[in-house]
Amino acid sequence: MKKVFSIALGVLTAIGGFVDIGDMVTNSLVGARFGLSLAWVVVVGVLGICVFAEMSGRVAAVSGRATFDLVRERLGPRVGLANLLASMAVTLLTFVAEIGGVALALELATSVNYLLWIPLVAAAVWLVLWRTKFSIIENVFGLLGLALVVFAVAVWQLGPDWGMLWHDATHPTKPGTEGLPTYLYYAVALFGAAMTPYEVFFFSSGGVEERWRESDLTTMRNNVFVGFPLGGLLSLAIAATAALVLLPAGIQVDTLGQVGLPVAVALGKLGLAVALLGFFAATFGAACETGLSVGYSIAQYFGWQWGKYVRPRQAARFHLVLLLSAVIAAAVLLTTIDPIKVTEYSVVFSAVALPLTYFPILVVANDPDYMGNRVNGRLANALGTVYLVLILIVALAAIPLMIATKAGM
Amino acid sequence: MTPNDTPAAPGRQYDAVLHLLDRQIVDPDDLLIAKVDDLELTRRDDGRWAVSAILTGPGALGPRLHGRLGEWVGAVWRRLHPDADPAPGRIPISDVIDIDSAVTVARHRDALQIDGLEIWVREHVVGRLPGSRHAE
Amino acid sequence: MRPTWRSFGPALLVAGQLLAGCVTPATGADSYHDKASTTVGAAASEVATAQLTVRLVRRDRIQKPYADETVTASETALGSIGNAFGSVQPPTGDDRLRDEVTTLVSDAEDAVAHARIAVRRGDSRDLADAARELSRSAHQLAKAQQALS
Repeated sequence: MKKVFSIALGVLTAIGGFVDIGDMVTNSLVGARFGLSLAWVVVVGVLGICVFAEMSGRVAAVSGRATFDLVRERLGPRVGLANLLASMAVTLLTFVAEIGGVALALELATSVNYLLWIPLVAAAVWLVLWRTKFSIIENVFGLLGLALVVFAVAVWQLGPDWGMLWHDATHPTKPGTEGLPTYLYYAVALFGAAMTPYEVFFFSSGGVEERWRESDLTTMRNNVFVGFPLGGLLSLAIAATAALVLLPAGIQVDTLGQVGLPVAVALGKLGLAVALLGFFAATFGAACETGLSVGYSIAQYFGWQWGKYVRPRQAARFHLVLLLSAVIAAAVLLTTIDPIKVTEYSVVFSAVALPLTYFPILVVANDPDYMGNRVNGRLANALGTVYLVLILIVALAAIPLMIATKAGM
Repeated sequence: MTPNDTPAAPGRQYDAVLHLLDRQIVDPDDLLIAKVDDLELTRRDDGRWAVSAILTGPGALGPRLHGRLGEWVGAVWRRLHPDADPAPGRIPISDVIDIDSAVTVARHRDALQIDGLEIWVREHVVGRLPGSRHAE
Repeated sequence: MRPTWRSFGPALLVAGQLLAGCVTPATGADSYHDKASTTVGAAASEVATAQLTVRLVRRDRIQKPYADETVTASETALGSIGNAFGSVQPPTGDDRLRDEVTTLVSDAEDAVAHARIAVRRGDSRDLADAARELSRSAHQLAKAQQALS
């Protein structure tokens, strides 16, 4: 019974923790503009992250080291440093977006201006990272994030023509009114949102935090192959609600408030309240994860003690990085930059940084020195290589598409 | 970097670049100490080179970064280090007791005192915040 | 120094984008028509958002703070949209287009402002009036969109 409970907890936490501000905003934005014609990108992206999360989780369980820890060793200090700087930059940008997202959710709930929430949210995130146990952070925000299931319920309640929805999703043709570059640009954004680099750092480091061993491999794989796709389904539900309500109304998504309106249409005040809870949990949880990821990546490059599994005094530089990240994020957001714009840029730059993140994982997961007989099998390598090619194409196309479409105008 | 040498376990060959360089150094309690940022080589009597010590810290990593970036790292480290003519953190190779996915050394982290920055941050920033001693 | 370039590249690009967004000269009538079309589309989106929100308020399907924030955000956005379009130098012969679009956006902003007031007050008659006004604005914007496409 206890085993069933812990498996269920793992999967549920994975579902609830999958969606972050990038997924919410990008899926809603794309659903409102392109209907479900880009749904295939989410499917491809989710499969991709499953493949690489399993690899990086396996690395943590078998070698006892987080993936990024091993990157410098295999790629050398110079390439490792380039990797570090790029990953940190993108993760920090995502961190800023998540904190902005929490503040926006609180603004929607209370009418108190989001700028006033920002210092509080940044402080709260830091405090949670300073004092709260790792597993509690994961479980609490993962389970609360399940509130986003309300979007799936809303789709059901809106009583759509399922046949037509399915047809749109399985026949990806760009709408006539949109240009091909714009369609591709949003494909890149959606892909970046689904395969965010920090997820795999975090997953692997989290595995070390939670002291995974080889015996935990099955549990880990359950969480990844059941939890992540179901989480991806939530992303698609958000897109579907936008396609059903916002698209016909000609509403373009540029605020978090618009993302939730379809839930209000379908389910009224109660549904909307649940959606707000989901927004808060998803963004706060993701803020914790991205904040930790910034610390993990720099500490794992330089060899500093990191992690919540030791007392803060024992990992002073790591905690200093977390503190500075929170301060920087608050400072950036207090310049009144639009958090939604930051989110939109963060997903595209995530797409650009993808090769740097995923290539080392593939290298490390194939190394018998760390992995023993748990190196990648043929399937993992086949999928990994295919995705690496895809990721490279996406990364190279991202900036030109952004310039050509003026960031999706 | 060419030498192959046997640091700890007799009879097992280790490749200094593959198995030592850039690897995580841990203490017997599995606490993370630093990375192997560089290796100190000494010429033996028979003319061959041997790894005599592990070097860590910006003083050791700087030169391996090459070019202007490496020089800058080294310059900043020399400026901030309390000693007038600082030497990089050094762990003699005899301290190494195991090499697998990490390099385990015999002495405990606090005994090694190899980490200026960590100690400084602990004393001046993190240690001053309430709750820094509490376990999770 | 490839690693450094790679890490600063994105930052430079963002900076470049932001700078490019500040000064937008219209080059030729087509580009101006495109800008007008985008402006009208964006304004229509904000009006539609306000309409949907007002409808939800009238049916008591949305919490007041949420509705308030959403409508206020639309109002603010319309102000920015109007300013952005107004600051573009029209090519000769397109002065009339500029006036029409500017008026449309300004009317839309008024309608959404009234909606914001009605939402905050919670008065059902004000809300009904606001709904009508928004509907009119939406209709005009839709006509303009058709004409410009």
